[in-house]
Amino acid sequence: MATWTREELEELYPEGSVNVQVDDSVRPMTNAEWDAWVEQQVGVEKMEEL
Amino acid sequence: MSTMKYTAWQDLDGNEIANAAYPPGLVLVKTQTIGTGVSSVTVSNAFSSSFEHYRVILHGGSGSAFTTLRLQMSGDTSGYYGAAFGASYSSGNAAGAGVNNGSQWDYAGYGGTNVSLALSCDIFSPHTAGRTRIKSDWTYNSGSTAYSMFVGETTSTASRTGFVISPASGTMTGGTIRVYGYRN
Repeated sequence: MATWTREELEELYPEGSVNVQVDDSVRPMTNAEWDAWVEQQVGVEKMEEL
Repeated sequence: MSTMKYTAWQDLDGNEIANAAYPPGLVLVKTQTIGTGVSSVTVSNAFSSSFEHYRVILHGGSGSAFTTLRLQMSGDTSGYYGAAFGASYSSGNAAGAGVNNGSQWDYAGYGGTNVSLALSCDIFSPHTAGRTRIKSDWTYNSGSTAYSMFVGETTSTASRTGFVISPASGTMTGGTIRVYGYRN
């Protein structure tokens, strides 16, 4: 079972590239939010697309 | 085509008049378009005392990775339980996945690079004080396994007005969320 690594995530989603949305308002994540978001996804299974 | 004709309003009781003017069914409450590269979208002011039960449908757009879509009631970050039910395409063997005191319902929908974002979920009593339950009709595929239904409950008894959808992996771009209330 393949999982996401921090290196892969940092390459795919560099700082400033990930947004959060509340209703119609979209803003980039802060550095702290981005770091926590990346950390949360490390180890998540890579699902197999059909 | 048959049509119902009323010849005298005085022959109708209050419920019949109300049902004729406002027939029971789904009423669109809110529409929200998802932006670009979004890790989570919060839909606020979706639930109110106007309706007890709701249906949320997300379709269109795509994910940056093949992923499940998670659903969280705004303000509730723990106490989520549920189970997804499925079967293998190839063997037909049953499969399942669970949420045990999680921070959201993990299998409410799914999306990917080759498939649109997809979530179709009934939410029962989110604005009423008490436990909220959900039933999601279409959860996700992973490899040769399809999960066709997710049912869940939260132990929080708070009254909620909104919800958050987020992918377990990657980000979402595009797609439209529609919230409907069930009018009795």
